[in-house]
Amino acid sequence: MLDLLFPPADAPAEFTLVRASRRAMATTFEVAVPAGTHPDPVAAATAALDLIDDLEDQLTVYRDHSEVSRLNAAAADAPVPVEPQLYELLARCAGWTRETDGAFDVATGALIRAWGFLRREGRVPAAKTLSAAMSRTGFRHVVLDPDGRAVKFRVAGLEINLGAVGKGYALDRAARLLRDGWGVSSALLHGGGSSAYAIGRPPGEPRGWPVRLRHPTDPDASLGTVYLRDRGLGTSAATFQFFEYNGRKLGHLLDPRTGWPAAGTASASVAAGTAAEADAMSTAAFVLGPAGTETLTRLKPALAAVVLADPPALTALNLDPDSYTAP
Amino acid sequence: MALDLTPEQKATGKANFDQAAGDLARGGKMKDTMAVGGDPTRRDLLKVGLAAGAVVPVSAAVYFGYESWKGNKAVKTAFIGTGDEGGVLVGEHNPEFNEVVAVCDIRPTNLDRIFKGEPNGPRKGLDKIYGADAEKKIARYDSVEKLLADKDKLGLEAVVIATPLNTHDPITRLCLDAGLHVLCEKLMARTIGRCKDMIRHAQDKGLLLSIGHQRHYSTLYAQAMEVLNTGVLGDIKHIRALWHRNNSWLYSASEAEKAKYALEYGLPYYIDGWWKPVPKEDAKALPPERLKELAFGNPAVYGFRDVGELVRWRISNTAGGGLMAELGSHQLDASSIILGHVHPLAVSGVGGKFFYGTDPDGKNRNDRESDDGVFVTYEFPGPTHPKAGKGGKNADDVVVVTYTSMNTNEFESYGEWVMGSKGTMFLEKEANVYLFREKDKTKKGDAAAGGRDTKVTVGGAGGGKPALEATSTWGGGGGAAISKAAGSPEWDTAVRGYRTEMEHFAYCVRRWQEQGGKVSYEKDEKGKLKYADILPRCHGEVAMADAIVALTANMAMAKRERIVFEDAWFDPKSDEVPETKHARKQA
Ligand SMILES: NC(=O)c1ccc[n+]([C@@H]2O[C@H](COP(=O)([O-])OP(=O)(O)OC[C@H]3O[C@@H](n4cnc5c(N)ncnc54)[C@H](O)[C@@H]3O)[C@@H](O)[C@H]2O)c1
Repeated sequence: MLDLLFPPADAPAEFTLVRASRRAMATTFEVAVPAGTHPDPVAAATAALDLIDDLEDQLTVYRDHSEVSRLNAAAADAPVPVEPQLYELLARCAGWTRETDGAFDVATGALIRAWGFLRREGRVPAAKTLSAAMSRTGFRHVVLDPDGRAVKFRVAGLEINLGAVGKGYALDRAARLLRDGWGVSSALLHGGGSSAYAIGRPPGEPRGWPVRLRHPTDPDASLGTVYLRDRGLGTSAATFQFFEYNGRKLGHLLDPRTGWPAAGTASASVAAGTAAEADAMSTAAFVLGPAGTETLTRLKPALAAVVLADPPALTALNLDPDSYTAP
Repeated sequence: MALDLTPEQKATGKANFDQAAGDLARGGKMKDTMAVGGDPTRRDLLKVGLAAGAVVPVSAAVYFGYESWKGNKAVKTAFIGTGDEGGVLVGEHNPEFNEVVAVCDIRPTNLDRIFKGEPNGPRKGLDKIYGADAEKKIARYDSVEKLLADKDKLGLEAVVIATPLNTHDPITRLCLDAGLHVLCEKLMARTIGRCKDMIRHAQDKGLLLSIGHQRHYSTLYAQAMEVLNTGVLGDIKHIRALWHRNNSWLYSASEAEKAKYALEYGLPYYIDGWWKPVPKEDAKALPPERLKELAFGNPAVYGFRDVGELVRWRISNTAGGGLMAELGSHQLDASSIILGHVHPLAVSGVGGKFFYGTDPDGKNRNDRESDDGVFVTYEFPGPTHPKAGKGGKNADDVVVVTYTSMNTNEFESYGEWVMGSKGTMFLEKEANVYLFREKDKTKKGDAAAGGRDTKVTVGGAGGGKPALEATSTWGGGGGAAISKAAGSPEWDTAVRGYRTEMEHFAYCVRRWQEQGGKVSYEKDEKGKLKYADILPRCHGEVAMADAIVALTANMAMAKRERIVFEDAWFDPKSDEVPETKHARKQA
């Protein structure tokens, strides 16, 4: 607290931030633009939030009319052509699944459903239910046709659920609209704090937009501050929802490789070139834990990560002092 | 549409209202309730030294025109009726305006309580306000007659009456006869004929009569009205007012409580503020013979059968007016203010004792005479209706106002929803105003499902502070909803009208004294009060309209009839009252 009350003499400048927010994807999206850096920040932010609403309508599995719901309903029978940018997102997801050895996978709708997480009421599925769901899980059962931009499922009952990348993807699209369509050069966008994207940097802060990483269980503690500049940040943690089973605490983040909730990680934040990739990689980092995340960041040096293990041990990877201050 | 709001929707709605009020104020369109920094026409503000462009609500004293009070002596006031509401009024009164010199009540327990107060909430008690020797300085009386006999000794100038409904008119009359100005709680009186008597008597005596519909003194309602008057909501065709409470939880008395209460009057079956247990002390002091003596010469009309009826006066047909009188009158008052101080055209509805009762085996489950559920529909004139008084001729321009009140569900709590073609305003619990715009179907995408409401805030950032806290949310959304601790009362003196109502009353008393002569309710040729700014906002004629609206609904429900309101009822000079044609014969 004290350092906030008495900023050091060389502290970055103060400025005014215009924030516009709206509910979407069951969380609050916010676009923050420093006053004076754009002639009409509210109009720009409103356009970005409108786009996010449209994307929710395309990506959600909670509405039967969404493109993803329709894809899930039909792709086991025949290839389904999809909107070009959605196709591109699915292709990138396929790549991320390979890179993470299956720790990240969007073809896990059946599994999520079996655990009751779709309706937010966790329960341990019966062994039969679980093995049936596992047989309908995994991007290896998805065939992508780049020429027809079409998607086909090799097994019936497979479901795509973009919950782990949808917010990041929406932020990337919104950021592109703000930058290219509205000439916004400095802004911070986020969805519920778990996905964020920074355009440029705020006035007087060359390191970028400061984002404090909240400790998953102790509201007064922090896991440090990262500085984002033209990058995305994703955070996965078992903060809000878990349930107990045979003395084990089970979180809501499933390991697609085992079919069970991932264990051993309290929180994982990953910074990447886009918010979608940051989202995907933070999910993978949570599933893989600190050791697996270290291997991942060695393979992909553009990623940076802060992982808190359970029991607690904090690891920061690929972060230089200019882009991260420890707690 | 579910009329309960998520915390985010509330934040959005609140921000929208503040934004609208602020924008209007900055555009010079809200001269009365909001002040803008840097605006030279706002003298009162230069004192505050507000930054240019900043907007704050003006104080109640400025808005209601009594900011010149300083230097006046407080009006020597007696509080008659020191129960629940008397406790609120005492707690809210400002001793600079009203000095409490005496209290009067027939229930000994409430006379004690008015001094001691309550540890939490607005009933602070006289001891806290006037110091520990309050009990020596402030006289206590157990009847109105004894209080009035001492009026000269006390130097009494005014009274505040907060007694059961059936006693409002006889007590008001006695006080006016004693030459005192009167602020009497709502509902004005048990029948419209009795309201008319009160108005005429105050006029004859040339004294102030103010009735306690506090929304007339709420700066929040005034602000909301200014925003509404700009037409932001478009065409208003419906107001939905409601006050839902849940009094269906079983009561169980501890041994100590059983020892305290007079069991012959029964113990409540459900926890219910309208069906309270009777303290032994009150039962002892007020046997039926004593209550008869205290009944202003007419026990059938002004009295109580027994102390049980006195304590539970709200559920008695002769002593109270039920849900419409107690709760509905406030909100229909608000509705007619919102619609431009118009009178309704007609009312119909369904009401009944649907929940409480007495079982065949004689078990009394908070039985009552009054209805425990009321579901009422009013037709009000819209702006172009002939009865709106604006020269319109469109008889189809009707605004439907529904009012519901019940005892078995409080999910929606209480408030008024004003529904227009361009937006919705929600006035919640006399404490908050929210504004929501309708989805604009001419704008691409605006009509899609889901919360489109954008909330905009402007605030400081930088200085090394993080711009965001990264956390995780659940499966693509959710997160922990952090809500306020349950049961924290929303009590804001500044927006509740009680304090202002009493301050303005005191101000009017002094201004008429300065002016000399009798208080005048004279009207100009346009029918406007000549001395409106030194008369109470909710004077007799205004309050009588509220009583007509509330009590006629009871008559409509009792007979399951649609009743058309008649102009003469609202005219204090006319002897016409709704009861003549529509009251059910008393059995
Ligand atoms: N404006 C508001 O928001 C609001 C809220 C609640 C009540 N009220 C009004 O206030 C009035 C009182 O309500 P309450 O809830 O305090 O009821 P209450 O029963 O708690 O208190 C009424 C008190 O009046 C006393 N009383 C009865 N006859 C009397 C007499 N002849 N002389 C002196 N005292 C007498 C009773 O003994 C009792 O203590 C009612 O008219 C009610 O409608 C207004």
